[in-house]
Amino acid sequence: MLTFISKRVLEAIPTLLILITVSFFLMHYAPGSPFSSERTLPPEVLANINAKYHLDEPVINQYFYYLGGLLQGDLGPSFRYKDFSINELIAQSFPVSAEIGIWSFLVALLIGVSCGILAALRQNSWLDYGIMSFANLGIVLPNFVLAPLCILFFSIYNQWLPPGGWNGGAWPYLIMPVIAMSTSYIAQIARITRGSMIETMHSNFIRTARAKGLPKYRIVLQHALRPAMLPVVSYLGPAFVGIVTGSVIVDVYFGTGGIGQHFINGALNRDYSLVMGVTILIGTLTIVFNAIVDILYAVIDPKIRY
Amino acid sequence: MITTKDKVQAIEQFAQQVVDVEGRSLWQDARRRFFSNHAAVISLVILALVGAFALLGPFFSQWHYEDIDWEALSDISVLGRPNIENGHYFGTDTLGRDIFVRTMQGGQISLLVGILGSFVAIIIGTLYGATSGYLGGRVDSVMMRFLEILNSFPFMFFVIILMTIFGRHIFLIFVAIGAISWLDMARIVRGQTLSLKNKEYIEAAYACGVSTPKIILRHIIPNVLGIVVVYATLLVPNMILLESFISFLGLGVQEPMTSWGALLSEGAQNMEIAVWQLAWPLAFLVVTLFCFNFLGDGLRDALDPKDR
Repeated sequence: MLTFISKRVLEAIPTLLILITVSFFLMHYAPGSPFSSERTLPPEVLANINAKYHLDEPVINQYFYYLGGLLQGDLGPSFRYKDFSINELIAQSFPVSAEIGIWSFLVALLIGVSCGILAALRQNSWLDYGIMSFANLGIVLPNFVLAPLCILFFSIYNQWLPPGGWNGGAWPYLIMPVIAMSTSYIAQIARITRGSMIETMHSNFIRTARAKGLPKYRIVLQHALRPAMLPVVSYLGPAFVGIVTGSVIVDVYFGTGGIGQHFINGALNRDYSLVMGVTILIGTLTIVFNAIVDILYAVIDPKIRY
Repeated sequence: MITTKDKVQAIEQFAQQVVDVEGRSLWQDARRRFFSNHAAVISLVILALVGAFALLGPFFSQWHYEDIDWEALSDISVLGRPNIENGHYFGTDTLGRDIFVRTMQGGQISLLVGILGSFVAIIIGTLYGATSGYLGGRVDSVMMRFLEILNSFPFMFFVIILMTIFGRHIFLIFVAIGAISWLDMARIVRGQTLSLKNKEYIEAAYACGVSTPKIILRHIIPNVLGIVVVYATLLVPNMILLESFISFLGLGVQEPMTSWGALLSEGAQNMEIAVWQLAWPLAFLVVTLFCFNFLGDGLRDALDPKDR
């Protein structure tokens, strides 16, 4: 196990390096520059700014400057938010997204798995159809329709919840972002759980357990649940990364100030270092969580050995 | 043994009575399973109707998708309501343009974009997965490594880069998006190929001296087609949703053309005063995506070899 983990860590380093390199050059060769705005600056000022950010040097030099900074844990200054470094921007917004994300993740996991199990145990009943239609609706309803509908219902018609803001993460401010964030994940998890649960319930060892005369809840909880969770776990790794790195829609509609908006704004403003910072963050998390999923697999499924 | 003439005749007669047992191919089996799934068949019919509606609808409208109804423009929340008499069956948007014809026209774009993106993704994914799985060994591990690296890129990063490169050419963007969303497809096809490549007929083809590319194209790919079709129907709705997200960011299709996503994001902004602007495109989008999902599930039940 230890050798497997250290092997995964060693493999992650070149992957990360390639990720950084490719996104750096892609970003730089995309048309437009951070300071090409409608408001034209005098050429001398532009030259000064370019010199300050090393933009006048060849891209390869810029790359090594960036890599050098990165080794010291410095993601560089933002090109747009003049007084902020990328580290500060991320430190400010990531905890917000992570808090929304972790709650959404827990909600999605709990509701999704239990809905999926219920639907699988009552396959082709009305309960099954009801749950699966709801799940399909969760998948097809775009986030940016769900979010304003939430605001309309909870804040404007009923005034139960504040329509937006963050307020340090007090729970009334959390509810709507969590709903908007978790719905599609609930739906996906329910679908995957249902599928694998049905498959598991048809397998031989479940028949044996039934023949032994075990009560149904023990069959489900002790025998079926563990193998049925394998496909769910492999979905959860990437899903967790997606969920904690936030969504631009949640940030826009609820004004929570998470990391999702930075990604889009950074890209639209050609704020190289901001996009790079967020990309590196997401990429690292993806690699880490894929490794965690692999390890969890070995824990859940004794057939897998490393 | 002496065979008499009448015995021979009797046997011949008997042989004529025996009807040829009709063999059923796997595809016929699959078709039978598919057509016994009502939800999937109904979805297919509805999808065909939506498609026909999107294509033919504009001919039945009194308005063109660019036309501005100046009269309705004066008071959208009253005169812009859905109304049979003035030809705005679904009402008008905030600029006084007819929602009915715009929904049809947006449907054309959304469906086309969804199909185009999935098509590209499927071609690349199938070829990549089949090659990687069939060749195996070092080539396989290098190709899978590459896939893993691509996988660790945030998807939105690619989408945004592509949008800055291609600007507002929505079709180009979706060809390019298709070219980066083949990762899951490749993984699925590779898994299938691994189990196929030790089959006797592959060995036979190899023994006959069929070249590797030909084995992949002629023998591997037709046999993974079932799962590819299933995945394709599930990819199309994802592409349509992605298009709507891009439109929400304001980067989608170029005005005055529109798409369901663009209509939705406009509608969502005005839903308190003019709910029809959201309701109609949303209804079409939700129904279409629902149908694609049910169709995909039906196809999976019909084509997935695991359930046989």
